[in-house]
Amino acid sequence: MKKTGARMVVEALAIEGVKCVYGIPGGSVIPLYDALYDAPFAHILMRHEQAAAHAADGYARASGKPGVCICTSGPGFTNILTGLATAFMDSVPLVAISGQVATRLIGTDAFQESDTFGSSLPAVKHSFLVRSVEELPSALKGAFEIAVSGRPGPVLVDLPVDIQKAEGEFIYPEHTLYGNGRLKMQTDLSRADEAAALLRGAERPVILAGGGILSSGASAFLLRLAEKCGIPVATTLMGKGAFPEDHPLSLGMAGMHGTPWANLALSEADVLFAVGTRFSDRTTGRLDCFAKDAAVIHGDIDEAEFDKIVPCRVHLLGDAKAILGTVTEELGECSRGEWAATVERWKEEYPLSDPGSADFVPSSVLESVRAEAKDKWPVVADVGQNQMWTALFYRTNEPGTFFTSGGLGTMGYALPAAMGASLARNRTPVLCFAGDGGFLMNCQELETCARYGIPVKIFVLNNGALGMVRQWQELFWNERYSGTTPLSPCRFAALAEALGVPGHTCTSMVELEGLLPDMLATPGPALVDCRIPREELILPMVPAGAALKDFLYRVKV
Amino acid sequence: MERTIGVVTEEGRGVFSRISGLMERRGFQVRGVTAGATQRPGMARYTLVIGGDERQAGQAVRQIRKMVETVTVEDLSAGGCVERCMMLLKFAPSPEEREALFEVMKGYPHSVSEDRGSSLIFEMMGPGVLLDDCLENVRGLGLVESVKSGPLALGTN
Repeated sequence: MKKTGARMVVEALAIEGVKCVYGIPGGSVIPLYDALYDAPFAHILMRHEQAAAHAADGYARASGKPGVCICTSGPGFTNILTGLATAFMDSVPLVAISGQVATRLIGTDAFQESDTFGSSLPAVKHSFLVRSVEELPSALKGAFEIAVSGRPGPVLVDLPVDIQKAEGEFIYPEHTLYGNGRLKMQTDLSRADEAAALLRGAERPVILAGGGILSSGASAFLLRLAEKCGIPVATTLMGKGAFPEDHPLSLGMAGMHGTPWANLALSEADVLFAVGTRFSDRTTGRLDCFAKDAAVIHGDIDEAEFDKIVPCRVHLLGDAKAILGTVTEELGECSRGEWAATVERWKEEYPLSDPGSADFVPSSVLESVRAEAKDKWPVVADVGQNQMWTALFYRTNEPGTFFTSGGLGTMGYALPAAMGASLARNRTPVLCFAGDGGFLMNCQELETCARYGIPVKIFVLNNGALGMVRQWQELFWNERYSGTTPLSPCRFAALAEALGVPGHTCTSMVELEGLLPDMLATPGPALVDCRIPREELILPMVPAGAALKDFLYRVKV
Repeated sequence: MERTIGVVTEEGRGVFSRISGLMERRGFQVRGVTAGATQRPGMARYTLVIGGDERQAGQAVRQIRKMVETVTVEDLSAGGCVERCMMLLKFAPSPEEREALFEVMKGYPHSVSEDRGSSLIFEMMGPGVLLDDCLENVRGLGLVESVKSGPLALGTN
């Protein structure tokens, strides 16, 4: 039976098992929205296309399935581009469907025309510009296959409006013609024995676990390897949750705002087993000092990451489960008492909490929310100081319960991503931590949250400043607070109420603790404006360009 | 230092944009590039010359391999290859220059594609360095303009 291009999209999404899509209509997607009107899955009307992409991103991270977002041509697409770039940097599978002007108008500077295909290229894993309705089924199937295969990422399908209206035969392929070669799913674990030998002989081994562990679902494999051989595990920001942070072998997060013991362990390691990580500059610090005495084993699904940043002794190409499983098989049991004792000593020497500071500080806020919340509730952190406070003080024990924009560092990510994460997990409550700066970058989504009653519990760590930059200015730029402070006091509770979300303001721990039980138990969204001190810094900190071991631990008496 | 990379891709929209964009944003210096058809219908071949050593070539190869359309990609400099560029040279020589010009050109493989007496065009094919050498030696002999293509290359293995 013949179908329109728009119907084909809806059918394809249904076949792919999509539960909800996020988007905003516009002139070039009216036929598609007509087909969505009676689609067997939900469409969540967002208030900004960037937020639609972040919501799909949060959905994808929380479900492990591709998130889908829809936008119109021109500005709809340019808005969504930030979300695509965010997903690309963090290897999140998305399928974005953008409307395009009619094929006969492409290239004529038509109303709301932009070079979507061209401008998407550096921000996506792959792009399709569909030029005929006959190409559409295979492009859609290809988009879903490419998004999840190998190293996941966003895929764009640019769909001119006339093709949405055109009719054609709809035969949705079970697979595209793409073989494993085209989907980049090679495996080479031939040197697993060398990796195992290095780990066996190591005196001070460390595992660095990246986001690849989470996208592969390899946390159990990581735990088995670490426990079998007594190897401490540090994670990257993207890897947070890959290893339970309350586990004795956990070093927590490494990097610029990593724990002292993770950074010291990486600096002192003699063998480093890095899995599913691309050695971001925020993780490595000064490169020539990073794991400088260590033989590095690098396991990743993307061979282009090998030797890109850190030259490695052994490469293991493949899925993290296969990498960890194979190496574990090759290893016998062992323990390393002396190394474990050294790590313990560092943990005692450099505790994370800051007993000398004021009452209403981010660490206390995070710890008290954590005490009240359930371990399984996802936590989404925005970008900046709030992100690093959350990463350090909200210990994560379950894989897939911490999400943030790690690579691109997109402020405004947290609220829409938290909404997507909640919808992916049957409307489970999701905790959203954001600063006042980042929150205002997508605060319009409070309205969306209210309209659908999505239980996102928002904590705005409000210091009335663009705090991370302010911190750099305080520490490294002679306290010249250019463009960061003071900001006018924004009443977030009133903003939330105006958009239909219950809003609260707290200025002390007592107030917050009084509020939390009810706020977390009540269905639907809620916001708390936490008025934290402007001067609060996120420490420890490795200054940009410094070695990991040279972290600032305390800067004030 | 330069390395030559051979890429076979499926023909498709935007493949050239993808390759050039990828090289540009990853900071590879592309010093020459050609695109053309192969013996297999639907397959295109790109030849890139990039500045850098074996390690950088390896990085470029692995980045290009990630493209969905890439069928094969190899660092041709690693295993040896035949590499050829084309060059066209246009002259408007004086009679004295004309004589000297033909004398110099004897040293290089070439043919005369067009000769109108007052102006003439030579065509040449050969390794890039040989063509560069030729160009240096004919400057000052009435050279009007020249154009050299990027390389075509096939691995010898």
